[in-house]
Amino acid sequence: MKRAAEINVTPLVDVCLVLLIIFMAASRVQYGYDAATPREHRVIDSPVREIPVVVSLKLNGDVLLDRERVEPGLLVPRLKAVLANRKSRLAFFASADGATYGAAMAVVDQMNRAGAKIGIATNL
Amino acid sequence: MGAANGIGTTASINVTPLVDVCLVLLIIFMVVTPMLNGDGIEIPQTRRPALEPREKGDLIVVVAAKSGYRLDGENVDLGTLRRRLLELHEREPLRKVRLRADRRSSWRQVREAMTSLASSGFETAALITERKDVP
Repeated sequence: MKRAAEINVTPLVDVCLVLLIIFMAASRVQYGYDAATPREHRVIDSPVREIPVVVSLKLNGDVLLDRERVEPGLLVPRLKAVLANRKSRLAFFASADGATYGAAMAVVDQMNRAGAKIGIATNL
Repeated sequence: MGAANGIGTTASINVTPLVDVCLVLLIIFMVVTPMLNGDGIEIPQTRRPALEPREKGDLIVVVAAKSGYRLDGENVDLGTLRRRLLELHEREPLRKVRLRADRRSSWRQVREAMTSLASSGFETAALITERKDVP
């Protein structure tokens, strides 16, 4: 009995198909943060007008929570604590104009992790 | 006595064309995927962004690191961006906006794009990032 000497291609095909599906799916997924655009006279829908929380990023990289400097890494618990006492989870983000968008988004990510709804403030 | 001619042939499908097609498709997707996200923009990477479903009709505002703004693939300056956004909002007020900004661009550029969106009437925008699982 002669047998044709063939490589077993089934695992190769399996891997290829899986990779193909992964790449097809990956091209449909994207991530981001929903943010309210700055509005000068927007009415915040809260029964009691609260002064909104403002997180700001300074040019030297310092992060301020309501004008008070926060140690890096402590923003998430601190903001969480502040938001816990409030009716609205809205927090505004402001940044120095010279800061890079990458640095800004790192702070926005922390705000998001603290459970804040993010609004963009026009200026620092 | 069917196949009794001495040479035993195994009945198997010729998979070579299938493998060829798969590999070609794989390579096409590998090449095209970064291009879809790319447009020359380095999207910032953050730890826990929310999933933003990619929808066809979404308005895409791009903030490039150096060359200003892009609206639906067309290079525009800030004045043109404002004017065009106003028109677009009048035509379709409920259209969703995605802001794809380069991580090296300054906050001023992004803020001005956000302000233009607000003054045109768009109330929210999705700030697009990439997910990075490393802390």
